[in-house]
Amino acid sequence: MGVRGQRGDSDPALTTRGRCLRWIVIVVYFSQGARERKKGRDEMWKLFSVFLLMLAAPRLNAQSIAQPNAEQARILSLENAWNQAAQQKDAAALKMFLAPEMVYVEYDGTLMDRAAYLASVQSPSLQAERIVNESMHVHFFGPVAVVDGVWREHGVKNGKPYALRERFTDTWVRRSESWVCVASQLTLMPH
Amino acid sequence: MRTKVLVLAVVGLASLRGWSQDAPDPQAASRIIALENAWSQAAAGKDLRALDTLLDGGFVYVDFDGRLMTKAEVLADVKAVHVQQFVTEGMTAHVYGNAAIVTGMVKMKGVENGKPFLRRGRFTDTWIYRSGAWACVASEATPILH
Repeated sequence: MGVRGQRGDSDPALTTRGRCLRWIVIVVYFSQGARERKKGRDEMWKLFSVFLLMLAAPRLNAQSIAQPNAEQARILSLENAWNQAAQQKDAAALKMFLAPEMVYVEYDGTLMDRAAYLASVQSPSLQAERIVNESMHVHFFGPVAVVDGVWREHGVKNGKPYALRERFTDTWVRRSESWVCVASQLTLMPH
Repeated sequence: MRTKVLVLAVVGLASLRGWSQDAPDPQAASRIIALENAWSQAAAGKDLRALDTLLDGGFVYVDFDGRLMTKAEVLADVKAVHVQQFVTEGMTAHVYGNAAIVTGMVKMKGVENGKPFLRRGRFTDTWIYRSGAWACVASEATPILH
């Protein structure tokens, strides 16, 4: 909740142009979603994921200089949005903050590009029931942020229950006034 | 001694300030790969001075077993573990302005706490260009299980 408190339309640095662009993003997102609308549950998830993305969205104001705490909150919001999107197999949401050239190393050492990662998330044989991040730290190095943390996931894969605990590092870079993830890697930890 | 001199020379040449201090040079990818190789040499040769140059003060590292380590802990680990072989292969560098991501595979052979070990893993390193030089700010190693 603290993360949400640092963003929103009450932000004095957010310009009218920025607010308009945000609404454009929402309208475009929902107009695309309407074509493939299925059930109420899906729509609720989309609403929630868009809300999370809005919290993490750029100020859309190139002249403002963001405070480190605000930047940190944005990146942590994106990390949480990632969990939600992965759990819901929402590739459209994931594409919004994963760079097209992203490299991803799975806990078993498999190297994937973004397309392979999205395919693995959407695999029908995988059903993540709960994904939670713990102990996240954001390290800023100029226009780059590195997040380390612990990823806990449990669900059903190929009909069998599984539980994973992994250490991850994600590298985020600024692109067009937004943050996108360009690299992510996971390593298994003892339970 | 000869190895240490060679590693320091590579580190020095690869981070040479022959261009603007704010903009990396056009051959950034090949320079970073050279720095990765220098890192391997320094780790195998326990060259802490070279490693200190290569790794940023805020460096974060995730080891093969998921341990999160600081730069000081990594340097202490290098000092404690006897590495006989440290080979990297299949490296690819992706440059994003003043940042770069390197993925590759590493094979390590040595002795730790009196016991021999052999590790094979995939790594991702994040490099930053600032003050006229490249430094690694984050690295994670994951065992290849297949």
